[in-house]
Amino acid sequence: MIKIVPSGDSIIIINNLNNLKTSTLTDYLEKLELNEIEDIISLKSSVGILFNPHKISSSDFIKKTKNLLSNKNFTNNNKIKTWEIPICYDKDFAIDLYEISTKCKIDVDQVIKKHNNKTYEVDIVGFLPGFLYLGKLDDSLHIPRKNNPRTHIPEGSIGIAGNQTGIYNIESPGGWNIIGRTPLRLFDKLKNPPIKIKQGDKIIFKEITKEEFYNY
Amino acid sequence: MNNTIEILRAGIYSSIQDLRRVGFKKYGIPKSGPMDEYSHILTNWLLNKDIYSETIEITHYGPKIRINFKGNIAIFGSNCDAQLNNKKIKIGVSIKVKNGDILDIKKCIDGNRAYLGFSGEMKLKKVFKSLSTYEKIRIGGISGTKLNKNDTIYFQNIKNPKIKNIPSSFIKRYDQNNIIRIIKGMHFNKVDNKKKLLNNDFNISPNSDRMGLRLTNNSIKLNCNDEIESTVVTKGTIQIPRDGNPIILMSDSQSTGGYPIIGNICKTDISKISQIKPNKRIRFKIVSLSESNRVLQYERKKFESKLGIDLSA
Repeated sequence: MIKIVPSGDSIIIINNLNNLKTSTLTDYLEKLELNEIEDIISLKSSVGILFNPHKISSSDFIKKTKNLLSNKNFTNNNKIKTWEIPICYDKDFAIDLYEISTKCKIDVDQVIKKHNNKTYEVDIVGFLPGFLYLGKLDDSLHIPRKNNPRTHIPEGSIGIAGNQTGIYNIESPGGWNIIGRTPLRLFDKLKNPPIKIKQGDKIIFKEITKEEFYNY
Repeated sequence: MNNTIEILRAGIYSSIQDLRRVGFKKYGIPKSGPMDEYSHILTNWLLNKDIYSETIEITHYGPKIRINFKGNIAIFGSNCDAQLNNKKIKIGVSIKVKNGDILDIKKCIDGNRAYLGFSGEMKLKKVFKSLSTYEKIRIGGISGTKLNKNDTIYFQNIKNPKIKNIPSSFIKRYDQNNIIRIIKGMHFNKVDNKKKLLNNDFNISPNSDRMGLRLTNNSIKLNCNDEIESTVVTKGTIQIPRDGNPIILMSDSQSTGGYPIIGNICKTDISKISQIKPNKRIRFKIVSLSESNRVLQYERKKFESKLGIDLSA
């Protein structure tokens, strides 16, 4: 049974989706183009709606959303794309590669192989502009975030933390363990939408050399 | 140059902001916009402009500007020491200006920020529907940054509306009442000592910015430090990071957060907390969601009946 709860006076959160994918629900809600909605944030197991409380009170908005979702038969969306993203694991870019290898107690070659040899799913887009959270990382590579986040991580850096790998599509501070870098610019602030990759899409990493990186 | 303003001194942190960047958080791009939306909206009202229009947000110490047009300007928000051609001017009232006038806005007195508006539209390129400056990815403003010395801003559709005053019932003092109303958050029950949270004061840290206000001097212990799943956050969300010093997310904040959320500031009180000076004290008061909605409704009716402003527009 879908559950809808308020978070403050300007957010409602939809939980308990069972087999319904958050991306399907988000797609449906976006197409309704409801005037009171400011933004819909699609997370791994919940969907958050930011709305304008001057247009509707949260209790009325919860009722309205419940009505919109009751007895609705959703078919999970099938427009999933697969993206091939080049990644260079050279130590110039993979600044934490040796540390990852030590912490996970496996050889550097194996770290690369285990990271590369997998199809990931985009769990969440956002947090930072264009940041991509990808799951699920191989069990042997699960390590926590760094205790002291770096103040500066270059654009395109690819990190690991917990059971996810993630792509920093803008330069920013961050605490993920950096395992490689892509020469692709996936976030373009001059375009709308600024990023084409969507939640639920598949990602395959293709290993490239440093020469290929610079000639990309 | 006609129909422009020239920045002779930028001030500590002056940036162009509006309320138009709605709908891009799903890509991780914040709404940005004025920290104090209340004062921004009233500044626009003084100039007959809609609530979404752009103003210059002035922080602590303002800019010195040469005005090269005939029209109106207005300042509202924190009381501040402002002069036009070396003569003191008031805030909360629109003022006629002419070619060559020099506007000098110095110190913010009782609050942190004042909003400066003009009776014309800034001729700048909108990025993600908005002129709001967001420096992290260099969008909005003139070239994605706060105002700098020697910047020139071009205007179009400059009007000469009637002089207006902000009615006294809309004027706030930011150095007196320090009670901030909050609604319990989804992790409120994790708070170890709820009395300490509500009966003790917090200090606003000088280490606060447009992303978030940091509170110190009343660290909050949680009874359970399990990792929580990231959830949606917005302006006014109160997070407790590991060190226990709350962070209140503000205009440039991220869209999701993984720290426990003990509360959310009522929308009507977010503007107020943005004006409370560093090192000053605040105290939280819990209200129900329906109480917060009543306050919002009251404010909406007041804006509508006294000023003809539709906050739900």
